[in-house]
Amino acid sequence: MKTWAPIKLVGKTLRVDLSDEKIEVTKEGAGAYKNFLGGKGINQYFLYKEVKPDTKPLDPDNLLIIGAGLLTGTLIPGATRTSFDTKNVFNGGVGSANVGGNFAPGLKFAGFGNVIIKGKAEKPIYIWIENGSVEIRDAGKIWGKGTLETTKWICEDVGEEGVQIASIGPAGENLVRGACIMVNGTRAAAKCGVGAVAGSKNLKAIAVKGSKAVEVAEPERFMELAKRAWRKIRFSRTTKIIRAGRTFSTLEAKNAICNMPQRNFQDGYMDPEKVRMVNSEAFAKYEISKFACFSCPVWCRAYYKVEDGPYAGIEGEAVEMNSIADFASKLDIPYAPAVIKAHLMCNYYGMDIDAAAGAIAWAFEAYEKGVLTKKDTDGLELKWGNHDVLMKLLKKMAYRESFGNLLAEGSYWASRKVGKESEEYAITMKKQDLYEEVRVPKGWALGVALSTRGGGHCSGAPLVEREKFPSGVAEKIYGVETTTDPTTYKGKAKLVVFHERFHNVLHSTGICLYTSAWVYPDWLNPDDIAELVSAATGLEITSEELLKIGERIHNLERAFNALHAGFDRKDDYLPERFFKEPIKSGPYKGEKLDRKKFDKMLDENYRIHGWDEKGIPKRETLKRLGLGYVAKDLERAGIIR
Amino acid sequence: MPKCVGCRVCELICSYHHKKAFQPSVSSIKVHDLGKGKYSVSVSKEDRDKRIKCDSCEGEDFPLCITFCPTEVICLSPRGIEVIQI
Repeated sequence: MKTWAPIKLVGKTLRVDLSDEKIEVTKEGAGAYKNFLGGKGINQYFLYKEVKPDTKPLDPDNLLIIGAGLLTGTLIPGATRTSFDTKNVFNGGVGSANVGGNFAPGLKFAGFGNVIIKGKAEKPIYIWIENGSVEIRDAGKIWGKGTLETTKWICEDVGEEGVQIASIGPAGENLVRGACIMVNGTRAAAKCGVGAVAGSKNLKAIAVKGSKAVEVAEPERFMELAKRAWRKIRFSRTTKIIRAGRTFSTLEAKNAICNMPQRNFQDGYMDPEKVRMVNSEAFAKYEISKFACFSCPVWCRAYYKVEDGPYAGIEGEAVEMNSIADFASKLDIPYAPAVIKAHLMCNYYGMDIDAAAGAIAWAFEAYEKGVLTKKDTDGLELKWGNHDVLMKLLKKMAYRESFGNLLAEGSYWASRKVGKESEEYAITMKKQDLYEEVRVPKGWALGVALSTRGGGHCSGAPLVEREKFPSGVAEKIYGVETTTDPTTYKGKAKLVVFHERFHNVLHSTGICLYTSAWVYPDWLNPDDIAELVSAATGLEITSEELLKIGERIHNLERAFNALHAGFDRKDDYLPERFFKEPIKSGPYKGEKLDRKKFDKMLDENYRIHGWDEKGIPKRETLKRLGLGYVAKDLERAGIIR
Repeated sequence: MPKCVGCRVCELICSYHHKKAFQPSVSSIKVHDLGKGKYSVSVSKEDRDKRIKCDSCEGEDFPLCITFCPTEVICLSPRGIEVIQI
């Protein structure tokens, strides 16, 4: 009679020191999962413990930590995601990037839950994990190659099919700040410069294949719950919508609340004619297939091919909501084939599309204002709508070539080099480029501002401020009276607190946001997930206790930011543009953020969290969460008295 | 007509049926990635290479792969479980 042990779900921990070529396998995850679940939670736990505040993101001593979610490898709908955690290349604080595709299941079936990578290899290498065996292999022949080619080459080099490969492209190799890690060349662990961290270690890729089992504590109970979860997602209204129109099904609704980053956030509203040229229907023309990630019935992915026009012949997996916002709106290029092309280029180079479009849009506005001229831009005319120039700039940026070297720094650092008030339109949070327009939905604004990793909408920002639900649904699922007026400040601090904790639960269980109640209340909520975690681990955990784990991870990150980057309240304010310049057109023309009301939301968010007026976690809050050691560190650093 | 989307829930539920664990490498049913978002699916009628032969979910109310498949490409046939993508 087999007995279950936590390690059979959580997976072993693999430690690789690239400087010494040392490989070590431990069971540390089995000790940490009760407090941190898995994925991002366990990664951040190791990151906090083992990286010192004076270590810089590209130093060998920085860790790159890969974590499969606690529930990945099981058949919970959407439980497929991987977290990559490290010091943020833009700001030295928390870095965390999350990705779909099938990498985490691959890691779990090889017997691993977390991989901790330290040091720097002497020359380019990749790590090959096959069940229990781990090898460091030469990557000299693929250094310089794009991520898709790298994927194919590694499969041949190890002589296997069905290998899951996380790799960097030229952008990571050239330490571009917005460099990302790509899974099998098509899914991005995009943010915080995780690709540059890998590049700084001469780490071209991590490849994994496994044939082992993932097991849960109470199989029969788990299967009953999983069947219910599967049915809940498979037959939901939201699934039908996303299957049809992908992650940009809601493009018109987003534009209706003036939530588009039009021309570097000069406006929040996109001309509906332009929206029609890049909505779900417009892209459907180029779609060859729709498909899914591991264990997901939503199948939101798609493969495109363009047959005519200047980009005839391009094909590949591409396009999400961000791509349309970044290229069609932020750069005013409402041309679907150009959006596909730009996205594919970023996949190839291994570059975050938000960071790429952010730096480039800043440059376009600087050019518009005469702050940059053709002398600075290698003779290129940076005019809104010019997609030919966009493609040229993406390449220069990935290779840090000439003008691209400035862009590769991201708009925050680039604008500090150029000066001439160009800092005013470097639209960033904690120095990382934003994709998020924020003037209308106030909860979204607060969530983006407070996000521990520097912008992004997957660490606290709610998505539910624009639709009406039946009464009681908002209270039951999100813990607030109502969510349906985007412009009201009331209740939004509490709505954000819920999401800050809930997002951490998702990132740590490995469940995709696109099978979760973040998108809509008919999807997996904390009660659903608490039951699944209980049956999977044998721990009886309520949804309150589950959200408390999310709270623990959140406080750990907040403290990390204070210690490593000196972040506090002053770093929680969105760029001045959003407070000073109103939306220029559309249904919410005239709307902007009110500083006093924003301050009150910050005050309330901090109060609910148990933080002081500077947004620093109080001693008693940290102790309540079992983070007494964090309180001591903050005391020693003089951050709490 | 419905196509396999490569979610591989059939592999997961099949391995669970055989071993009460999630282990796609031993499932009777296997999804093959053909590239460009296209997939084919094969069902093992005999034990081979650690894969366990399909027993049409003996002991269950109804074959689990058919119940779970979100695109309904898995079917009952006189030959056992088959995958039809037209």
